[in-house]
Amino acid sequence: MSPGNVEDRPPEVRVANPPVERVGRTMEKLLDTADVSKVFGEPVAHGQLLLIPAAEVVAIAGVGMGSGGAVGFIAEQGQRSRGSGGGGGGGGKTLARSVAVIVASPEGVEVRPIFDWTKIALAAFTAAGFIVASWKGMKRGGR
Amino acid sequence: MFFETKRGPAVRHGGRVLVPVGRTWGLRVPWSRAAFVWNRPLGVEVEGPGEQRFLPVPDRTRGIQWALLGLGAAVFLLSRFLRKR
Repeated sequence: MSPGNVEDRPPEVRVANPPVERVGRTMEKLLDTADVSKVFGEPVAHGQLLLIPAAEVVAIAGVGMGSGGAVGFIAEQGQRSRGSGGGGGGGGKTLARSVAVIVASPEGVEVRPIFDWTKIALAAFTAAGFIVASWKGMKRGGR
Repeated sequence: MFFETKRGPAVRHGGRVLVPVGRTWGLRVPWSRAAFVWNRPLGVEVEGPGEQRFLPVPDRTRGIQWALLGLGAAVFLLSRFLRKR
């Protein structure tokens, strides 16, 4: 968008789109999580055992930005007035949850699952809510 | 959107070679600067003297969550069906 009068533009040299470059770098960092090393931890040796932790990793990010400008004419002063502005924002989150541990021993290799009891309890409460609501609805319908 | 299955570096232990395998599902929204990456362990390849197998890494927590939510939804739908009859 062209604001029209460009003579009052500051004389310093502007860096070409630094926020856009920063956004690109952030996105690259996010996509770096798509790697096996982020899912499987460093192997831990304990006696004759070797433990490899495994986790699920979820990453989400979003960025938005915008800018605009306008030119107006002030009739009382007989002058043109211009203004412009821009802004941006973004956010992201990375979540990781242990899924299992791979245990290698002289007897063999096995996968031992890890249970997230908090998540299971929340799912159980949700299911119980559905069941209680259904049961109450059936009782009301039966009358 | 992309799906990728990647192998990690091999780990040697007790005459066996373990190769971790992970799967990635990613989504990059074309019209905005947003991205989503879901990375999970798929399993481990085990190679040893006289053995070669793939051990899957099950997500038991997710399985139980889906089972509980499915049970709740099934009871809810069944009760609606019985009430209509």
